[in-house]
Amino acid sequence: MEPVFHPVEHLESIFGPAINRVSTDHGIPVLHVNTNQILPITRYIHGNEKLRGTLSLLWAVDRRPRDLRYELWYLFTLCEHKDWLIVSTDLLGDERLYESITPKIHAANWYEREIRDMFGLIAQGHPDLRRLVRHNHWPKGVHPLHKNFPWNSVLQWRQPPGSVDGHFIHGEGVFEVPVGPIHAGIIEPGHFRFTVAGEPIMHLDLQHFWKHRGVEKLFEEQTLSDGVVLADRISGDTTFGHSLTYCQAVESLMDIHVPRRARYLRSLFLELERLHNHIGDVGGICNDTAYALAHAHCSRLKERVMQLNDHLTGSRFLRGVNCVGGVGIDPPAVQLSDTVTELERIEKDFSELEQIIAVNASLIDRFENTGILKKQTAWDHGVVGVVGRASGIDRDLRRDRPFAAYDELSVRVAGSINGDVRARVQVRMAEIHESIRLIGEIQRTLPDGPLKGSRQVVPDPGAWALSAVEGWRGEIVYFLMAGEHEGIHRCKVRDPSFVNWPAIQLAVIGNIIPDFPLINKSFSLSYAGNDL
Amino acid sequence: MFKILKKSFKTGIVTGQYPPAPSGQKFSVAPTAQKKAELFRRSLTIREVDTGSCNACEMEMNALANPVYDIERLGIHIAASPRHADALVVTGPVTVNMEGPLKDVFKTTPNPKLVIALGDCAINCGIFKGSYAVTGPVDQHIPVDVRIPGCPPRPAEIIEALTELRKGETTFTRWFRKISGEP
Repeated sequence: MEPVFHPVEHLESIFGPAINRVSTDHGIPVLHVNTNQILPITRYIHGNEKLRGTLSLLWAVDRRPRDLRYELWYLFTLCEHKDWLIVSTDLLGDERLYESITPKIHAANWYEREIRDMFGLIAQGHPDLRRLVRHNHWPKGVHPLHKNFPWNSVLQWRQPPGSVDGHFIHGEGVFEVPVGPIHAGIIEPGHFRFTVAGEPIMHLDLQHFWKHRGVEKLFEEQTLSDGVVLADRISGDTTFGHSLTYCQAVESLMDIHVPRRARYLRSLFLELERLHNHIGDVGGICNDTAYALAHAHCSRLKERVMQLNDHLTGSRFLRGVNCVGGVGIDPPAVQLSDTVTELERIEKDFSELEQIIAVNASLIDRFENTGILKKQTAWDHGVVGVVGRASGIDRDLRRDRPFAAYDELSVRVAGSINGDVRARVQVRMAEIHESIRLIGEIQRTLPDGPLKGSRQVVPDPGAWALSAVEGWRGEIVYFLMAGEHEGIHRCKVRDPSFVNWPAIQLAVIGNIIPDFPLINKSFSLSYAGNDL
Repeated sequence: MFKILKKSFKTGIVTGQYPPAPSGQKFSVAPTAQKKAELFRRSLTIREVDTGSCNACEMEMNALANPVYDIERLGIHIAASPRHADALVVTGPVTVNMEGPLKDVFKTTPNPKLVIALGDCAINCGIFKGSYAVTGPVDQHIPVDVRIPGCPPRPAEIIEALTELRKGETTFTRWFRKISGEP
C-alpha cells in the first residue's frame, strides 16, 4: 500500500529551515515562513504534481494596535483532496515591500493590486501595479484598511487627472471602444475598454470598483453577531450565500453547534437562491441573442420562484433569514410540501422550455464556440463556480468541503469540458434540475428540532476562522478575525466574481464585440460583490 | 414552431399574477412631483442608474419588465440612454467613484425630468451610511422628486408609487372641469 501523503510533512522535508513554524487552527495547517521565502514555497505548492494548489484567497491583516506588523495570508486549495493549506508571513515595523507571486501564479494578480490599494503594501515584481479599487481621483496615500484610517473619513470626488490609465495597443486600424460605467440595460456600473482591429477583440481592459462602498471597513465597526445584516447586503442576488458564509465563520469562532434542522433549512434556502438566479440567467443569456421568447418564459418562472421565497420567508431575496447560530425562520411543513409541488410544476415548465431552446439552430449557433475559456487558463486563474465547471474544473464545495446539510445529501455535480457559452448554459440547466431534486430530498428528510444553537466561547482577540460556501455563482470565502470585545478585527470577503472577472478578459479575445454581452451574461458576475 | 405555440397557449396570460403590495403603507408623492409628472401621464421613459446598490434593487427593476408585472402596459418604458429619459431612477448610496458619473447622467438627461430615489440606500445610504467610500444619499448631489423606500422595494410597490406619481389633476382636467361647470 502506498504511504499516505502529508502535504505539510512533504513541504517541511523540502523547505526545512525556511518554514519557521507550523500551526493548525480549525484543522487548517498554517505554515509561517519568512517573507523572502514566499515565492519559492507558493510556487512549489502551485506547481508540484502532488499538491497542485490553486490560490483561493490572498489577504492582508493590519495587526495594529496590538502589534506593529502586517500579516500576509495565502490560502491554497490542494487539488487532490480539496484540503486547505495556508502560508503566512509577517511584515514587521515599517516594512512595506514583499515579493509578488503574480508572475508565477496568475490568480494573485488582483489580490496583490487590492492589497496595495487597501494597505499600501507593495508587491515587488508585479507586472501591472495600476490602481484597482482606488480610482485615479483618490488622493495619494489613502489606504482605507489601515487601522489608523477612520472608517468615516470624507473623500471628495475630484475630476480625474488627465487620461485614462489603461493598457493600450497602438497601430494602424486599431480602435478602442470604451463602454460604461453606465450601461444600456439595467445593470451595474463597470468600465470596459475594448481594443479591436476590424471585428475581433484584441484586448479587453476592465476597470471596476465603481461601486466600492467600503464593506470590509464597515465590518470592522460591527460586532460579530450584528455583522450578518451587512453580509446580507453585499450582493443582493447572493444574499443568502453571503450571510451563510458569514454566519458559518462566526459560528466557528464561537464554537456554536448548528442544529440539524437549521442546517437542512440553510441548504434548502441556498438551493432556492441558486434556482431563481440560474433560471434568470438562462433567460438573460437567451435575451442577449435577441431570443425574447425564452427570456419571457424564464423571467416568468424566476418570478414564481421569487414569490415562493417571499411566501416562505417574507423576503423575495431571503434577507434576514440567517442568524448567527442557525436560521430565524421555520416554515411549516404544509408550506414546504406546497413549495415542492410548485417547484415540480416549475421544473416541468422549464423542461418544455429547454426542449424549445435546444432545437433552436440560430441560438445554438450563437452559443457554440463563443467565449471559450480553456481549462488551463481557468486553472491558472483559479476560476471557480459555474464558469470553472463549464471549463472542466471539477470543483463544487457542496461535494468537496460539505457545509450546512450537504454532508448528508449527495450532490451530483454538473460539468462540461467545452468552456464556451453553450457549456455554461448547459451547466446552469443541469444545476436547476439538481437544485429542484435537492429541495425535494431536503423536504422529505427534514429533521425536527431546534433552529438555533447557543454559543460556547467568547472568541479571543486575534482568533480567526475561514468559511466557504458554494453559492450559485461559485465559492464564497470569508476570513474573519475577532477583535476586542467581540468586535471584528478583520473581515475579508471574497465573492466568486472577484476571481472570475479577470478570466473574462481572456475569454473574449478573438470574439466580436456584439458577442461580449452574451459572454458577459454567461459568466453572470456581480459588480457589487466584486467591488465591495 | 408548434411546440412554441403550444407552450404559449398553455401558459396563457400571466400579467398581474402577483400579490398586491402590502397595504398600510401608502406612498405619498409630493404634489410638486405630481405636477412635474403631468407631462408623463401616458408615457414615462425611465433610465436606471446604479450608484452603488447591492444589485437587489436592479433585480426588482428588471422584474418590472417581466411578463408578470409588464410595466409597458402602464406606459412605462426603460430607455438605454439618459438622453432618451424622462425620469432617472437612482439606486444605492452614491459612492465616491460614482458621484461624477451620476452628475454627468443628470446633466445629459433633457429637461423636464424627474429623479426617483429607489430603495433605502438611495434615500438615506442605509447600512452604508458614513463609510469613507460613500458620499451621501442621492439628494445631496441631484434634486430628488420621488422616494420609494424598501430594501429592496417589491415590484408591486414600485408600480404603486409610479401610479401614484401620475395621479391627480392635470392642467387639462382642471380646464375641462372649469368649462363644463362642474364644482
